[in-house]
Amino acid sequence: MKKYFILFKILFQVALEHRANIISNLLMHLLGLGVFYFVWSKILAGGASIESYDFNSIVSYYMTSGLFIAFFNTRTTKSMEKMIKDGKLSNLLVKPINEFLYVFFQELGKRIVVIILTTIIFLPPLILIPNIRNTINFSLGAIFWTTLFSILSNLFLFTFFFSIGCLAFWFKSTSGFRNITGNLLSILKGAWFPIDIAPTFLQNIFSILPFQYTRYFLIKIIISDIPKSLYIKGLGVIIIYTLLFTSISLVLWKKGLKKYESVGI
Amino acid sequence: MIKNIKKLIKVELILMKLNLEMLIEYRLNAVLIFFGSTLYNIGAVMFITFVFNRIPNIYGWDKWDMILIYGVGQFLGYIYLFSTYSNNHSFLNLIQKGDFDSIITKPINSIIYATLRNFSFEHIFGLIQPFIIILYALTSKYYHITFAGIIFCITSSILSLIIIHLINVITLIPTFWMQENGFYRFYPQTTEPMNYPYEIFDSKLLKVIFFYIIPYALLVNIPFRALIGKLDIKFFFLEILVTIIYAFITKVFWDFGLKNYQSASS
Repeated sequence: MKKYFILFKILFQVALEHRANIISNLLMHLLGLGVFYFVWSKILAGGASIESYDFNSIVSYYMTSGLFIAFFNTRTTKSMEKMIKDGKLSNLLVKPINEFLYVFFQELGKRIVVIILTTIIFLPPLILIPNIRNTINFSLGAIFWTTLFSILSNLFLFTFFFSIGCLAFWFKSTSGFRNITGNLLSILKGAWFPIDIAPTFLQNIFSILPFQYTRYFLIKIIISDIPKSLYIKGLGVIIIYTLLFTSISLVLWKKGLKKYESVGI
Repeated sequence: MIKNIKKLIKVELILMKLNLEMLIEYRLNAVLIFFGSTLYNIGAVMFITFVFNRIPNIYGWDKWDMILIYGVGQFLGYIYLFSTYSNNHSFLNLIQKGDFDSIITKPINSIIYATLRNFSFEHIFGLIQPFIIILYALTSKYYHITFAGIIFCITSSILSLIIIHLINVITLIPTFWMQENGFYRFYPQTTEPMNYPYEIFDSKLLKVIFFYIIPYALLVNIPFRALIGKLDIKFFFLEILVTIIYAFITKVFWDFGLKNYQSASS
């Protein structure tokens, strides 16, 4: 495992080199959250509420969601596409390494820097703004479950985006697939709106898919009291899908390598 | 002057043709992007529906008004994706790799040539979606639509697109100093208030910011209100004025940025 940790360390350092870019991107995201804050203050003006959300809780929802924006995403797919199309994969194939683990640690190295910076930017408002702080659950239990689900979410998301990245063996570009998954996931994981304001039949469908456990569920752990049975269900769903997509990834990778012709696909 | 404009149009048409040929090469990708943006629009209309099932209106505007204004906003959004957004990365690359020299040495307007080189034709096909959303709203509620209103709507849409492009160019200018620049995400990250009636900008400070400085109150609202016959003409003239001021400011900043450009490889 040592070689993978060295790779992780190198990519972590490289990502730190690009911190100006990351920080300006995060600031733009923070600005986007400010816009959400403004819009919701107008929608819920005069004490109105939607389902269980009043103005304070909806602001907490979006502010807390900022903590989880740096999880594995379509960048993993893009980086795999680049590796396959540019023929850089050939360098990997002749080395005594597991390509799946290589890509994982390479992407993790980049992600960790963003996760740290995201936490630095988004955590203080949750602690310092009284109206938001009052809606947040900072108990040890909440921290434990959030950490556990964050780790599992990242594992699942990696296998999911790795599977899509494997499509680069067959298609000239994966940007269409990235576009579809990006848009679909922003609805399914509750990035756009809290899933519990959707009709019940949609909530039921979303609950058996893994995506809501990578954002919506994490936010709900922090801003509300979730029954223990849902934690168990969530763990079951996300573990099953992680195993499923790990298998899919490995099968696609194996089949894709047969199709791979080094440079100039 | 006219000769220069003719030359510019000719160059832009050649660039469009090249980009269209690339689209044919990547046609499956275009189809997938179309489906991706369909999902986005379904999500947005779902969201408006969920919210307005609980809240009857915002400042007197109901669900259908909100869907219609969203449709108009998406119309501008798709043209932005077609023309402006796809140039952000290529602009950063030009600076970072030192290829920007090839732009400034050409006898052509460098702002347009550097920021309107790539055209994502896959988003042009997506334009059908805002039209469907607009039709959905128009057939669900009665609006008084006139020919004059449509003309004003088209004119103000063109002005809005120019302003949007200029805002984008301004956020790209720091690249001359920073080289690594994420500020070009400013526009896509902050457009949400545009899809709401401008009455939401209800304080003096908000009015100054969103009507004059970052004119989000005008960009979608003016074409939308022109279309449904509720345009306050003074805001149309304000949009013309803002376009001129933005063009001037962009030119000044751009020239200032150019003076600081040192070619990345040097």
